[in-house]
Amino acid sequence: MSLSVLSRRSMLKIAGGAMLGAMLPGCGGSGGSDDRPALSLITPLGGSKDAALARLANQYNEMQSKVRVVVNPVPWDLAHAKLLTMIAGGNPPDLMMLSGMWMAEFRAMNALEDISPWFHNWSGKDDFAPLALQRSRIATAIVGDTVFGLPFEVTVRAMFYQKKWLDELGLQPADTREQWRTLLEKMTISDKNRYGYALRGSRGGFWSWWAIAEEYASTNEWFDADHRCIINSPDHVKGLEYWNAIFQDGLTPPDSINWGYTELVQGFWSGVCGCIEQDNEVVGTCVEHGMDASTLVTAIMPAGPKARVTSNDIWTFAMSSATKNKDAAYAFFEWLLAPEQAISYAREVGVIPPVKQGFSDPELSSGFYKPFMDMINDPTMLQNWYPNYLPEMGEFVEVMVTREQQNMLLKRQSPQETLDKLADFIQAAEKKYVDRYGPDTPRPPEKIG
Amino acid sequence: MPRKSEPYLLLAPAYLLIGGFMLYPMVSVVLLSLHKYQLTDPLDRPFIGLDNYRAILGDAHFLESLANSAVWVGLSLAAQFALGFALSLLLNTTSFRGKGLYQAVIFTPWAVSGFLIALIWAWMLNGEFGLVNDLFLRFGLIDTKIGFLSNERTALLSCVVANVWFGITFFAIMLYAALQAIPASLYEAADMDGASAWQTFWRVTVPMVRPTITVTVLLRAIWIFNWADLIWVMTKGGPGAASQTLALYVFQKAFIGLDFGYAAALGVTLAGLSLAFTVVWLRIGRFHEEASA
Amino acid sequence: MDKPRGRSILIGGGLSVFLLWTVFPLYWMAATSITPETELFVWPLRYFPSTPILEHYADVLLRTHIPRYFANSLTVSLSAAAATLAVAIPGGYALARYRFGGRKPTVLAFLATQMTPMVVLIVPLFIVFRTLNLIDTSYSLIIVYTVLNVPFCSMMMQGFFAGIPSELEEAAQVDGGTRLDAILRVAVPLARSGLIATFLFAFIGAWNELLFAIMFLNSDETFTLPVGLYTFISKYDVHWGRMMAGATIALAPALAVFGVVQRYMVSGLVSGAVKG
Repeated sequence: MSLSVLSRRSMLKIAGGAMLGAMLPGCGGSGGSDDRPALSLITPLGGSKDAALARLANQYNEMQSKVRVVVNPVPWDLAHAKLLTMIAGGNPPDLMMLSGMWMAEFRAMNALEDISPWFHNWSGKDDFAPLALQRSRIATAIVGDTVFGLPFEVTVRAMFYQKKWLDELGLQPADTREQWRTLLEKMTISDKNRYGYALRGSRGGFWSWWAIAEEYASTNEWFDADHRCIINSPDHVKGLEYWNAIFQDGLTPPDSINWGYTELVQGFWSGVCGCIEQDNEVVGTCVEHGMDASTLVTAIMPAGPKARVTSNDIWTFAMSSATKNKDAAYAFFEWLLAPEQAISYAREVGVIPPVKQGFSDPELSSGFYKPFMDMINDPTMLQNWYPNYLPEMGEFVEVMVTREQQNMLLKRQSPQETLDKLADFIQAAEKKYVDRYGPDTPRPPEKIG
Repeated sequence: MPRKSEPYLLLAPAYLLIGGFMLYPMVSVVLLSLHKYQLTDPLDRPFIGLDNYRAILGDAHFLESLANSAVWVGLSLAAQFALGFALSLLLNTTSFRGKGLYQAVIFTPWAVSGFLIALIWAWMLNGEFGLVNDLFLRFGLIDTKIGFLSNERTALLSCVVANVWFGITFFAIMLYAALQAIPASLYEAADMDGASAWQTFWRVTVPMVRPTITVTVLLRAIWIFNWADLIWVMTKGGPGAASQTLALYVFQKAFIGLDFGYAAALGVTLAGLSLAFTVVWLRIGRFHEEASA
Repeated sequence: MDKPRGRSILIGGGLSVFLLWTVFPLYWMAATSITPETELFVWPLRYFPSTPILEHYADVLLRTHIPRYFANSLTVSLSAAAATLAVAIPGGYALARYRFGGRKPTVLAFLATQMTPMVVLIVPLFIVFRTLNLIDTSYSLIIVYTVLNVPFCSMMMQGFFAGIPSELEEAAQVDGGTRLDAILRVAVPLARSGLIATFLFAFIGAWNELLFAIMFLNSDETFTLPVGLYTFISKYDVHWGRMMAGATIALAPALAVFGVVQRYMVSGLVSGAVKG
C-alpha cells in the first residue's frame, strides 16, 4: 500500500518551508537599513490624518539624523483598547495621540510623562491659542503648572445641510432650535427615503443631546455647590425631550437608534438625511464622497431657548512615561507643534490648529470651514463642558449613556428617568473623586480663552 | 514494551506548547480576578478574595447578558448543526460533475473574517438600503421596511443569522470528512443484511460520526459563547442591551470600564460555565469510552 | 422507479438552496467591490452596478499595502497551520488510541484553553510575548495561533483517528511494524481527509484572526490582511468599495486551497481491508 501524499515527511517539508518563508517578509517590525533609534507614534485617526502625519514624520526624518520617527496607525475602533493593552502589557509607544476624553484615564494610569520642565522652558508655548490651552486644562492635559499633553488639533461642531433640499424648500439654515425643528419636519419625506436629521442613537449620541440640554438649561454646570449632580434638572430634561422627540416623531430613520460614528456621517452624504451636526473634519469626508458647494452648506449651531452652545474639543500629543528617548521626543514636539507644521497639517486634514495664527488663517476660515472658525472665535457662546477629570467618563459616555439613551428611544423609560440614572452614576463618581482629592474640582469655563 | 509512556511522549509537544504559553496567562487571570484591579488606580490593588464574584451575582447586567448568551448560543448552535449535518449528508450521498467546484463555493463562508461577515450582513439587513428588506418587499412578505438591527426583538436574531451562515460550513466540512472516513464495507454489510436507508443511518452512519459530532458541537458551542466581534461590529450590543452577550460585557468591562479585576472574574465565570457544560456534554456523549483498543 | 428520481430532485433542491444561501452575501460583496460609491446608497436597490468599475481593486492593489499584508498573512497562516498539524497528529493519535490516566485531564486542559475569553487573555499573553521580545513580529502571531489551535486540532484528529477501526493498525503491528510505523503508514493515510480538514481550519483560523493581530503588531510591515482591511473603517467612514475589494482578494487563497483539497477529500479507503 503506497503512502499518501501527506505523509509525515512531506508535512515536515511543508512546515520547514513555511518556517523559512516566515523569515523573509514581515519578520521584524523595524524594517529598513536605518540605524537610528526609533520614536514610535501611535495614531488612531485613520485615513488622511495618518497620511498627513506620515508625511510630516518623513519630512522630519530627512531633516535630522538623530532619531527616526515611525508613525504606527491603528484602526479607530480598537485604538483605545490597543493603547490600553500596550500600556498594561508594558510596551507603550513613545508618543501617542489622545482624545480629550482619554487624557484623564491615561494620566490616572501613570502612563504619561510629566513634560512640565521642558514645556515651561519652551518658547513655542506662547504660540498656543488661549482656547487650545483652555481646552487642554479642561481635558486635564494641563493641571496648574503640570503638563502632560499638548494640544494638536482643535475640533468644533457645526451644522451640515443638504443644500439642494434647502433650495427646493426655499429655506435657509436655521438660527434657532425652533426654526430647526420646523426645518427637519419640512425636510422629512419618508416616501422618498428622506429624513430631516441623522440622529446618533448609539455611541457618541451624548454629544448631540447634551449640547441641547445645555441650551435649555443655559449652563454648562454639572454639579451644585455641594457636588450634587444637577444634570437631571427640569430644564435639562426638556432638552433631552426635544432630542427624543426628533426620533419619536420620525424625523430620523428608525435605524438611527443604532447609528454611531460611521453610520451617522454615512447617513448624511448618502443622501438619506438632510442635516447633521459634526466636527470640521467631516467636511473632508463629505467632499471625498462627492459633495460640493451646490449640495452642501455648513452653518453655525442654532440657538436653544436660553443659550447657543459651541462644542469645542481637542486632540493632544502625549509622551509615554516609559519612553527611552525623551530628548528626541521633545525635539520632535518642538518641530511638530510649531505654527508652520501645525497649520500645514490642519489645512491638509480640515481641523483647526492649536496656534494663534491658525485661528485667523484665511484658508481655514473660508468656504465650508467658515462657520467653524466663527464659532471658535465667538466669545458669546456657551462652551460645552463635561467633567473630564473623572476617570469614569469613558465608561459613562461609551457604555452607560448609550444604553440609557437607547432604552429611552425604545420607549422603555422617560427622559427624566434616563437623566436620573445618569445623574446617579456621575454623582457616585464625583463623590469618589472628592473623597480622594478634595472638594476643589475643576470648574466649567465661563467663556472662551 | 514501554507502552505506558507512549501517549505522554506523543502528547509532549502539545504539553510544552500549551504549558509554556497558556499557563501563565490563565493563572494570572484567575489571580487577577481575586484582586481589585482598576487600570486608573494603579496604586490600589488589594487582594479582595471573592468580592468580584459576589458582585457578579448581584449584577443585573451580568444576568441580562447571560440570558442573551443563552439565546445566542442555543439558537445559533441548533441551526448550524442541523443544517450543516444536512448539507454534509447531501454531499456524501451524491456525486456529480462540478462537485469539486460546488464544494469549494459552499465552504467559502468559513474563509471570511468575522468582522467582514458582520459588516456584510449588517448592510444586507440595513433598514434603509438593505437587500433583505428589498427582497421581502418584492415577494410581498412585508409591507414596510424593517429595521432588523434597530429593533429589540430582531437585533440578536440578526446576529444569529449571520452566525449560522458562517457556522454551517464548519459542521458541513467536519461531518463530511467524518462521513467520508466511514469504510464502504460497513455500508455493504448493512446492505447485505437488508437494512433500510433510515436504519443504515442510525446503525452505521451516526455511531461512526458520533465522536466527531460530540467534539464539534462542544467546541463550536464554546467558541460561539466566547465570540464577541461579530455582535460588536453588527450592533455593538444594542439597541439598549438587547444583543449584549456575556462575551461583549467582558470586553466592555475590561477595555471601556477599565476594570480588569472584574473583567477577569467575569472571564473566569464564563470559563466556569463552559466547563460545566463540557463536563455534562462529554458525559452525554460517552466520550471517554470511545477510545478503541 | 420513482423513488430514485424523487430522491434526486430532493437532493438537487437541497443542494441548490444551500448554494443560493451561501452565495448571496458573497455575491453582494463582489458586486459592491465593483460599484462606484455614489451608487451604493440608492433605493430602489440595484443588484448590479450600472457602471461597474475596477477602481477599488486598483486602489487596493496599487495604493494601499494590502499586497504586503496578503503576503504576511500567507506566511503566518501556512506556518501556523503546519506547526499545528505537526503537534496535533501525534497528540490526537495518543488521545484516540490509548487509555491512560492523563487522558481526561489532558482533554479538559485542552478545552480549558478554549473556554477563557480571548479578551481577558490578551494582556497576559502580550506580557509573555513582550518578555520574549516578539511583539511586533510575525513570530508572535505564528506561535499564538498554533497555541490556540492545537487543543482543538488535537481533538479533531482524535475524532478522526477514533473513527477508523484500529484493527488495521494492529494488523500492521502484527506484521512486525512498530507503533510509529503503524501511525505513519496506516492511520495517517486513512485519516487523510480529516488531516486536510484540520489543516484547513488551522489555516483559515489564522488567516482571519483579528484581535491578536491588532494587539501584537505595531508596524505596517508586519500587518496581516484582517488588520489591513479593518483600517478601511476609519473614524467617520467605511470605505465600502475598497473593503469589499480587499475582502474578495482575501478570499482568493481560501478558494484556491479548497479547490486543491477537493481531490483529497474523496474517500480513498481500501475496501475489504478489515474483512481479511
